[in-house]
Amino acid sequence: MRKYSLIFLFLIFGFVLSLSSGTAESQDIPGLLKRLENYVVHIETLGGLDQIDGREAIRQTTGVFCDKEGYLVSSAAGFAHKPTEIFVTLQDNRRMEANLVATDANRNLVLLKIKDQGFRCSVPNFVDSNNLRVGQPVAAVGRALDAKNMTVSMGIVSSPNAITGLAVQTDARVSALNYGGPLIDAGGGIVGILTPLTVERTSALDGANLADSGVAFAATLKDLRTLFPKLKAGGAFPVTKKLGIVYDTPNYLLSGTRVQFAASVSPAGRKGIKRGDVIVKVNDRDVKRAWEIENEAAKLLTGDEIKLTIQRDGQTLNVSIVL
Amino acid sequence: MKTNVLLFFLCVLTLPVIPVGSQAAFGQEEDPVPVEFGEILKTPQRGLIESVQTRMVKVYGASGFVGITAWQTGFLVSTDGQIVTSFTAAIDTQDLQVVLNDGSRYTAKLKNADPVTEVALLQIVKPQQFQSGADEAENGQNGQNGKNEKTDKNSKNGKNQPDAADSDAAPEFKTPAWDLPEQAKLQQRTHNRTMAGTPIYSITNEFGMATGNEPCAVDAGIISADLDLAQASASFAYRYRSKIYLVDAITSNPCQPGGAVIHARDGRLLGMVAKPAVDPGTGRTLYCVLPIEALDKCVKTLQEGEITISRDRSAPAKAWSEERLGLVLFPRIVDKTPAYAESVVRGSEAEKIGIQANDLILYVNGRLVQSADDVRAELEFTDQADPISVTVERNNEILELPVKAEPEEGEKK
Repeated sequence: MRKYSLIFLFLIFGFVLSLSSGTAESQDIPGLLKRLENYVVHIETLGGLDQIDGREAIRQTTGVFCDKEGYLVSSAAGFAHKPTEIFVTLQDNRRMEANLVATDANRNLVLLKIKDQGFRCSVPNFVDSNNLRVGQPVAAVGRALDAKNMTVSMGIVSSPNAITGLAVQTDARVSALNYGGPLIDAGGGIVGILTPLTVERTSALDGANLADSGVAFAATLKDLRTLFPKLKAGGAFPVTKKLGIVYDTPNYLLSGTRVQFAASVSPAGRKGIKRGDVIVKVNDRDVKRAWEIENEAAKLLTGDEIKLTIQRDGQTLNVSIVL
Repeated sequence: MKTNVLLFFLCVLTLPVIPVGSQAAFGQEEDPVPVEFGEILKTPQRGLIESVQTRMVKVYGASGFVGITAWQTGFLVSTDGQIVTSFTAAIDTQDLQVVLNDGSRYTAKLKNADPVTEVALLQIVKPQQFQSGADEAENGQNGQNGKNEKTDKNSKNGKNQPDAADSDAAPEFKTPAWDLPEQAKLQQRTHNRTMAGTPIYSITNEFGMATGNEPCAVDAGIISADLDLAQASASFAYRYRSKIYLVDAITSNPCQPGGAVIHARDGRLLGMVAKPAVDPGTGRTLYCVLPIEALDKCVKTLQEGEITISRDRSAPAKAWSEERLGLVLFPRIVDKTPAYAESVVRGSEAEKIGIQANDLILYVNGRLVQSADDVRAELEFTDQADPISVTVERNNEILELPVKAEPEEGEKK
């Protein structure tokens, strides 16, 4: 009897506790910000250029932890001035020095690492941006202005697959106040890292003039698992080259994996891709439309290999192309 | 066994108490319903915006200077025609015209202004018929519209408005107005909670587009953050030194300062659109709103006729300097000479703080210093009576030097 009543007691307490925690975990913005506060950090930079292409250097920015060993992802916009020193302020006011490990010009992101080798952190929840729907509310979060306060901007998903599938487009206000910060969904999951982007991506600040225009991007991290080890090894990755194929189609979005032309100097042309070839698979994934091929190539880094399976004169060939 | 039964009863008793208790606290201190993600995308309650519009005022000030906008927004804060607006060059004039929501036009005078919060208090002087020369045609139209509106709208505001046509009589001049102390009290319920994420509407006369009885423009957004700009890391010389709201709604267009910011759910006044500020660290324009508590306090002072003393972040009476601190910085060779300490005078304050020769000074008073010049500037703004905090880099290590607690007696004098 004694045993049972004790168990009953615990059950009731557990029930009450779960009830109260259930209400506390509402999906309001202060609650979501609270959940992000250990992952989203304030970054300050010292030294470097004053101006880049006539634009003032962004000296304060935001970063998001992406690996428990102290790796952070941020926008390349905050590091375009090549700062000599990078300081990260954590939620508990600790100030750590960080190194720039790698730059991915393709997504306009940088990978940073806390210098202290013994440093460990927890990692937020990154969610697949493929599940986003146009019109779904999202929030852009930044911590550039102040180490103690995050800023938040509300918007909707304008396109889940913009810039050849590398970014989520949103109408939330994205600017130097939140470059490097996360774009979150209603559940607080991170769908991308806010960064200025354009199709050309000529510099890290390309697209920064779009702030407040209703056009903004968050580079998606859906390829993080494959991308991260390469970035961790370090280096500066330029914008990934195009395959260099012109497809025999009036509309890239609807059809056309038949090659009309491949320039001889392009990565595809050099590997012998020629007029009449039909691309059926990219990296062993079936493709039906030209944009699928291009998107698959765009998410790779310079130096990566892409495998095209083509049909030529009734034969199936595999061609590996280094981008 | 007995204790068990007792415990069990205790537990059963507390079961209903916990949720009820928390709910009671919930009702008193916080909003009844938490703000949903994306709530601002919903349609507002019927009549919410309309009721706010009746208190909005279009303010027309000095014009004639190229590039200076002569119009702005304001709102009524007393039934006898007191209006708050942003203190700008445009309203620092004898000839102020205000147009109420129903299109009635009055002369107003600048009653008082606070240079720190940049709030101005205007007073409607006397009801006046429409007759300013420049926009006669427009006014004629507005007068008509105003009448039409009144006949088909039986709002209580309409009743309160003096008729533009026989304004000379105006026996009972009464306008709809916000009761600032009451609005501030409403806000106090949430005073210890962040307002970030709160859905808002800003009601402003964007670009001066509304004239006569046309309503002000409404922008939807959220409160982006509530923070003290002066304490934010690199923010150096903000005028207003206490909590403000940054909003995620465009409020930096001409004519927007002085507009009202309301809670999108219940329409309560959250603050006044302030002049935008530029953050030096990110180069970004910040859309600032003066919170209702500060606005209420400020307006009270202005109504009493006292102009608050400027609390500008001007140089203090006895500021620190390199020499006074006993710190010798690396000579200024280029604009951005790094802030290395070349030497530290023995027995000086710098030595007591713990600065050593060859230290690279990174932060002074929590602000990142980009160069030796930044250190000098920061010292100039720090009174010798105040503690000074320094963070340095020494042998590739970041050291936060302990803050000097009490200034010495000799220095105070």
